Amino acid sequence: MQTAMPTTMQTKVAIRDFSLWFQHQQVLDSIELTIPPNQVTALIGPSGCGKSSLLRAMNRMNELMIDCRNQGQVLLDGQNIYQPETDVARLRCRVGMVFQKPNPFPKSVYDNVAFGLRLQGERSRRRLDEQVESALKQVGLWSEVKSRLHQNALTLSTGQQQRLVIARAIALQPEVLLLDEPASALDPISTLKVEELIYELKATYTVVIVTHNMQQAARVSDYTAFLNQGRLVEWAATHTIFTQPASQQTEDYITGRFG
Amino acid sequence: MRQWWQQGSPWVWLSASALLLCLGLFMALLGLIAVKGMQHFWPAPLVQFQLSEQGKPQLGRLVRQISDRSEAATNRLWLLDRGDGLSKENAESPASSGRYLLLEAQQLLPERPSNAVLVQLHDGRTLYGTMLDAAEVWQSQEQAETGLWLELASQRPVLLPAEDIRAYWLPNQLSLWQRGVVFCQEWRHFLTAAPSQNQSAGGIFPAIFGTLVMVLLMAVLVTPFGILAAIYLHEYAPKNWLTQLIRTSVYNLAGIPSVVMGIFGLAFFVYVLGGSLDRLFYADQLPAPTFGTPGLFWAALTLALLTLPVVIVATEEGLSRLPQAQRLGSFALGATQAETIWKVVVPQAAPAMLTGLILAIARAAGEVAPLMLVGVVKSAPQLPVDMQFPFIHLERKFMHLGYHLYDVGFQSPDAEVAMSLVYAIGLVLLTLILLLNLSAFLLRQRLRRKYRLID
Ligand SMILES: Nc1ncnc2c1ncn2[C@@H]1O[C@H](COP(=O)(O)OP(=O)(O)O)[C@@H](O)[C@H]1O
Ligand SMILES: [Mg+2]
Repeated sequence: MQTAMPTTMQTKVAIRDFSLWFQHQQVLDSIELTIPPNQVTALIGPSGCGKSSLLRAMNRMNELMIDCRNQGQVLLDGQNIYQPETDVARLRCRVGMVFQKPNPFPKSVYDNVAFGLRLQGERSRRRLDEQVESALKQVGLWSEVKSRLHQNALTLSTGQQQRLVIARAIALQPEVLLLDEPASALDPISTLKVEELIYELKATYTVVIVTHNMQQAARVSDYTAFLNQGRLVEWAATHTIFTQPASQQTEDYITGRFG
Repeated sequence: MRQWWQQGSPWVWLSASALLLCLGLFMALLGLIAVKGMQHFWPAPLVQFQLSEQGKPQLGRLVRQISDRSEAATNRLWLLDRGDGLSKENAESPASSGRYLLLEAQQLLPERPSNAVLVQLHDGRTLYGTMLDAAEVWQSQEQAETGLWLELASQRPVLLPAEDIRAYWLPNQLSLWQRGVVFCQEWRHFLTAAPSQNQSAGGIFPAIFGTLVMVLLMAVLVTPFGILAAIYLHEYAPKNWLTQLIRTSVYNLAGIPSVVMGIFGLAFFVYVLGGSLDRLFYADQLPAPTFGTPGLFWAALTLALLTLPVVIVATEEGLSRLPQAQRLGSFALGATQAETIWKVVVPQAAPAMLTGLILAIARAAGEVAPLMLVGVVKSAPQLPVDMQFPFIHLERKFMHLGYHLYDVGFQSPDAEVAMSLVYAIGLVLLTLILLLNLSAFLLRQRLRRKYRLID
């Protein structure tokens, strides 16, 4: 593994010697990765290499999907989230996640954004209104939906739906936001909007994004990690990775010679 | 031709004709029941007949034609209804004393007297006779009572007191409109009155009511159990062979014959559960059983058990159709599994649950066999719900449309003739099931619209 890790770097999430097995198949192999705060980290690699699994390892979503086993640590602010006493629901409020295909609930736009807040026990109509409005404003959806807050969210366009689920996640004011190929199901205009959004979000949140689009990784991220077959091949500042990759594999992948 | 064959057109035609055949049979069934059931209350004309050349003409109602093949030549006979007006003393011969007669065509007289009257008495009897002009008779009698002067079969005129008469009409001189009015009145009576001692007369209200209460109680019992069981099976249970085994067994429960369920209901619910309830709470009334005898609650419980697999299967179907992304989306927002199930999964699977309920109601409302063992009776003195505390009497026996139909059509002495009544009861039962299903269906549509998923 070749990683050019800056020595004096702040850490939001630290993945330490982390391995993951789905049933008997090893999906991740001794991953060492540091996610700096208020930066965008991109995970790239050929499909099936374990990018999504690594992302889900950071909010413990893997265990919901499949029978899995893991080894090593994922530290959020220095706390291992795989400790038995971790409150998983609380963890997922701190580490929000957005999926590849927009998955709004078939409720109103308002209820979608307020869903997480209500789970937290927020009952005050005024505070809910405020936070829904602020989340929708952050994703730039407010002006488009303010007149139909109480319409079914599934009547929005796919691009709007994807920004809505991002708003739904950030309404909880998470510390880390995990985005799994958030633009892969969108048209170019919506993609552009989501990319701009990601760029703005890093002022407030730590963002980790999975993408299979090299240009996108280059455009939005500050750090890039390249995975292949469950191993972390290279991790460096995005600029470095795209101009002078240390590993031949990385270079081949970026230039499109494999993957 | 070959091309026609190769393009797969035969399959289109084959499947379309199969559908057409199904639809045709279905329409025929509905049509038959509707027409025959309606006919029962349509005022038919009364005819006159003579038993012998010198005999006095009598009045009756033609039921239907029967062809008698016992002799060399096929003989057309008429089945005729003489009403309940006969009494023993005036019977001309034992053979002709019954209410129903077989007549040969020449015994029927062509004229239909316009003063022939049909009288329905409150006790359920129907009389056919000749209405006499009141003024004529009054000359010889005192005008003490009000009522209807009637000449029956071969009797002297009798005065029927007004308070005994439920309704009467002159079938041979009714206009179409008047027939319609009589038709509606008789239907109303049929739907709202209790049966008379003679099962095949009077109304069927207690049976309608009993069926309705039993089905609703069954729905109240089966819905929570079925839904919770399905939620456990699909959302909580680990996905291993044991769960699969349980699931398969539950699905196969649907194949248990309903009579067997009835036996189980009698043996376990009535005798074991009911017996223990009696010993615990109604010890002072023993040995007279309160719950240790067939009754409404046990019937509803037995049917709930019978329809449980239907609800479980339909609910699980709905749960598995819900995209996993919906659940993950909820978990990712910090929801626990319980919150995810109640706030995301159940609302979206609700239409499927209602589908299960619809199927359960359809199945339960038509079941008769198990009910005969666990609570349905020929005639129940009291309704299961009334104004007396505790208002709903779960231990009471009750009447049921399906059983009533069976009883009237196949157990009563007039079975042959009660066929049109059987159709009428069948029509009511069918309508009741349709109405129950329709209301669940409308509820489901509303939920569907609320949780519309666009792909
Ligand atoms: N639900 C699942 N069940 C079984 N195997 C899975 C599942 N999801 C992913 N995998 C396996 O885990 C490996 C990594 O998958 P994933 O993390 O989705 O890769 P990526 O996101 O990089 O395409 C793949 O080899 C895939 O076969
Ligand atoms: Mg993936």
